[in-house]
Amino acid sequence: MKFDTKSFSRRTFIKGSLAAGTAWGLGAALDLSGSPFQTAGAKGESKVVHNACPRNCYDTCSILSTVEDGVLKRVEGNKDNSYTRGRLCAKGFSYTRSVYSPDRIKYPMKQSKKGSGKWERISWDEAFTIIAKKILDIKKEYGNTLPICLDKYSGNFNLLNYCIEGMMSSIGHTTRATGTPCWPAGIDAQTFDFGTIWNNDPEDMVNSKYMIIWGANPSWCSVHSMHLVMEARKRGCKIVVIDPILTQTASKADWYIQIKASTDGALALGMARYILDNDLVDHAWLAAHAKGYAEFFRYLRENITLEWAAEKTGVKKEIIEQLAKEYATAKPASIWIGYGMQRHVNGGQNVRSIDALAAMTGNIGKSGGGAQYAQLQTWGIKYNVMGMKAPAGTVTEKDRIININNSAQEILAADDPPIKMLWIACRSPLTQAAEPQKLREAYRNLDLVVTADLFMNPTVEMSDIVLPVTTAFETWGLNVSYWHYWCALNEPAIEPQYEAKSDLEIAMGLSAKLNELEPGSCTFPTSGNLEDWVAAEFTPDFLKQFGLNSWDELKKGPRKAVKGLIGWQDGQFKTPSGKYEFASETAVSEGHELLPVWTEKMETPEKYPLRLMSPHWKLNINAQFQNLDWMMDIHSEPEVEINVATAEKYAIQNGDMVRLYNDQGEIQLKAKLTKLTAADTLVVYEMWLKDKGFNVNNTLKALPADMGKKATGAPGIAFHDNFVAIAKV
Amino acid sequence: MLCIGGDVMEEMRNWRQKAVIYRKLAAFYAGDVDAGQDAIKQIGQLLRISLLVPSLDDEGRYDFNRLFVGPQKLLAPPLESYYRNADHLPMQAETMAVRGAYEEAGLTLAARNRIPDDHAQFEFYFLSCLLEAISRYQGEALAGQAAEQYRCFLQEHLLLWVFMHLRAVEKGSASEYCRAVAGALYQFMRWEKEAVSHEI
Repeated sequence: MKFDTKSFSRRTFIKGSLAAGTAWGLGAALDLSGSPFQTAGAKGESKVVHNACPRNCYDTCSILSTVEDGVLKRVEGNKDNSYTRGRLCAKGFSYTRSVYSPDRIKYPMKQSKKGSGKWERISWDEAFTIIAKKILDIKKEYGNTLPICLDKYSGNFNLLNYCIEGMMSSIGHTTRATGTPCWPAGIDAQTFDFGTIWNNDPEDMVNSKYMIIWGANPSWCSVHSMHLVMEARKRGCKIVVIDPILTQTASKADWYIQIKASTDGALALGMARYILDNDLVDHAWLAAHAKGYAEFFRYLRENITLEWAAEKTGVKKEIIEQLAKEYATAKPASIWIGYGMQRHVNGGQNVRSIDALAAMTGNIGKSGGGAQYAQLQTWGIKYNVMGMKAPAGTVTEKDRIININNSAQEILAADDPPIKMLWIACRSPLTQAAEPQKLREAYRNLDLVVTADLFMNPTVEMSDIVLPVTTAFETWGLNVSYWHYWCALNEPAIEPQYEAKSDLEIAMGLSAKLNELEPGSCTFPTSGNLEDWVAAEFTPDFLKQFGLNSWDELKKGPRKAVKGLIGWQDGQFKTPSGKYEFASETAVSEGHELLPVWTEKMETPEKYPLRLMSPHWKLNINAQFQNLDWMMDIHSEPEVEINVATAEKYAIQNGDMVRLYNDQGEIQLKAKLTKLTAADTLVVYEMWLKDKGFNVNNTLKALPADMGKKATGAPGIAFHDNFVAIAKV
Repeated sequence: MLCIGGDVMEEMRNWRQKAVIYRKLAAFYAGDVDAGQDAIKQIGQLLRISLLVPSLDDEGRYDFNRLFVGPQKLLAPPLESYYRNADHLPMQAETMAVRGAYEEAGLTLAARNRIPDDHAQFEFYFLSCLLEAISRYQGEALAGQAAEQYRCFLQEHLLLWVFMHLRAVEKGSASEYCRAVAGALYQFMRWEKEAVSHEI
C-alpha cells in the first residue's frame, strides 16, 4: 500500500498534535522497555538556582543560574552579594560552556598503560572494585595504608570536598602531600607577626586613604576587588602598585613603582627607616599592641639606609622617601600583599617587613587599614566530612607527610613503606608542580594512580583510572572565601552529566565497596543525602557569625558575616604574647630570624642570567579554563614577554620562537617584546593550554620558599626564583 | 512513500531491516562496540553490497573511545549540535530542536538532561522506533505520522550532520574497525538521503 504523504505535511500533523493537546503517541504505541526513551511527560520548570564558584579565587562569586527544562541557560552574578555585585568574570561566564563541553570526562575509564592514550570505559562498580582491591592488597602486604598517597589541593573549594581527606582517613593512615604551593610563606609570616592571617573585609577598602597593592594583580586575579579599589580612589585614596611587572592593575594606579623581584623586603625596610627617622611612628599603638619594636628599630638604625634600599630594589631613594611619607601620613592606609610576591626564597621575610610597616604606623585593626593578605575567619564549619577515624585494627598512629611542593622527589624517595598508590583530586600536579618530568617518572613507578577530574589534562594522561566529577552546577555544596566575608550555598541546578559523581558520592561509593570486600575496612559513611551532608556542617558559632537562625536560610541567598570584619580590631593578637610581634620567638623556634630583617634574595646564576617569572594569567585558574575552546579562541599559544632591550641583546624579534632553558629542562615558545617587564626578567604566564604540550614548570626546580612549614606543614615554593638562559630556536 | 519503486513487501522488509540497522547503530554509539559488526552486515544486506567486516580487537575499542567517548578531547563527537552550532556546544537550540522532535512523537529520554538529546545513540534509536511504528501499524494513521516524522527527522536533523561526523571519523580513526563502521554508515546514509529526496 502506498501511503500518500503529500497531503499530510509536517505542518499538518504538528497542528493536529497540538490541536489534540498531545503528541502523536509513539510512547503508547511501542514497547519502550529496554530503550533509552520513555513516554514524554510535562516539561521541566524554569527556575533560578543559587550557586557559588568553587575555584581557588579571592572572589568566590555568588552565582544565579537560570535553568529551563533542566538545561543551564545562563549564569550571572548574584546582586545580593555586595562583593560579587551581580557580575562574574570571563571565566565564570564560561561555565555554561564547560558544563556541557563534549570534552568533559563522562565515565570512569581505565588506561591500559599510563601515558598510552589507550582508554576503556568501565562501570563505577568496576572502578570502585579495582581501587578497593588495591587498597586492601596494599594493607595486606604492608600491614598498613601508608603506601597510599593523597595529592589534593584547591581546584574545587566546595567545603564538602574535604570529604576527600575524610575518605583517606577512613581507610587508615595514609601519606599526605601536605602544604600548599600558593601562599604558605606569607601565612607563616603573618602567623609570626599577628598569630594568624586576618584581612579586613575587602569591602572596607573604600575607606582607605592610601592603598599599596604590593605584588598583587587584582585586575586579573580578583576582578571584583577592582570596583572597590576604584571606589576608594574616587573618594580620594591614592592607589600605588609595586610590582616587577607593569600589570593591568598597575596601569590603573596613580603611581606604579617597578621593583626588582624579590627585593620587596628591602623596600619595606627602607620605608621603615624613613618612617622611624622622621618620627612618623604611631608610638601609642605600638605601646598598647606591639612587642619587640625597640629591637626592630635598633636593627633599622644599625643596618638599613635608604641608599642601601635604593641599590637593592632599583627604586630611587627619593621615591622610597615619598612613598614612606605618604603611606605613614595618610590615615588610614592599607597594603594588599599579593601571593605572587612571597613566592621567593625570602618571600616570608619580605612579608614580615611589609607587615612591620603597617604595625609601625598603627594601620592595623582599623577600617581602611591593614596588612591585607587573607583570612580563614569564615571557614569555621564542623568539617564533618573530614572527621572520620581510622578503622578498628589500624596499627599506625598517624599519617605520613610529604611536601606537596617537592612531591616528585618525595614520592620517589618514600621508603618503609614505599608509595604504591596515588589519589589525585582537585589538582593537576603535572601542570602545576615543579619538576614535572620527575613527577611523571614517579607516577610511572606507582601501581595505581587514580585521578578525579572534569577534563583531560597531563595528570589524567598519566593516570591508570580517571573518575568523572560533577561541576558546581550538578551537586550540593557550601562556599566561603579567603578574602571576602560572604557565605553561599550551592544547590544543584542540573542533573549530573553522563555518569559524573561528586567527590562525596565517590567517597561513599568507595567505602561501600571496601566494606563489601572486607567489612569494617572503611569508616566513611556509605550513603547519605548530599543536602543533609551540607546541613551537618553548620555549628552554632558559624550560624551566629553569619546572622543565621538556621542553615537553610542560605537557600534564599548568600549571607555576609556580621562580625569580625576588621582584622585585629580588638587588638587581641593570637601570638604567644597577645601582641603584634616584631620580635617573634615562634619564628626563631621554626628556624627563622627573630625580627623582620632583610634576607638575601637568590643570586642570579651566571649560566642562567634571566629571571623567569610565571604569574597567574587572566583567563585561567591554574589548569582550569584556559583549556576551554572559548579561551583558546582568545589565546592559544604560550608566549614569553621579553623586555625590548633584552630582546635586542639576544637578536630576538617579536614573534620569534625562542627556547628558555636551564638544568631542569627547556621550553620553546614565541617571543613577545614588551616594555612592561624589567630587563632581566622574563614573564611566562602560567596556564595549561590544551594539546600544546607546553609547561613553563619544565624549567622549574622545587626550590623552597623560606617559610610555610609552621602554619601549613611544608615550606612554600619559590616559583619566581627560576633562572634561565634564552636563545632563538 | 519512502522508497524508489518496488512493491509493498519489499518496502516493509526494508523498513524492518532499517529499523534493525538503526538499532545496531544506536547500540554501537551507546558503547556496545561489537554492535558495529552487526550494523555493517545488515547494511551490506540491505544495500546488496559487499562490505568488509573487520574483527574487533582492543585497538578498535581504544579507537572507539578516542573518537566518541573520551577521556581526552573527542576526535569525532557523536552529537548533532557539535557540527551544527558555531560553538560546537550541545544543549543549545539544536539539541532542543531534537528534544522537540522526540516530544512531538510523545517520547522523552530516560537520561534527559544527563546526556544530550542529539547524541547519535538517541537519534538512531528514535529512527528505529519510527520505522518500527511504520511497519507495525501499516495502513493506520500512526504509520503515516511515523513516516512523515521519519522523513522530516532525517532531512532536518541526522542528514545535516552525519556526513561531517563521518569525515571526522575518517580523519581521526586509527583502526580498521571504526573506519569500516563509518564507511558502512556512510553508504547507508547516502542511500537514505537519496530515498528521502524522492517523494511519491
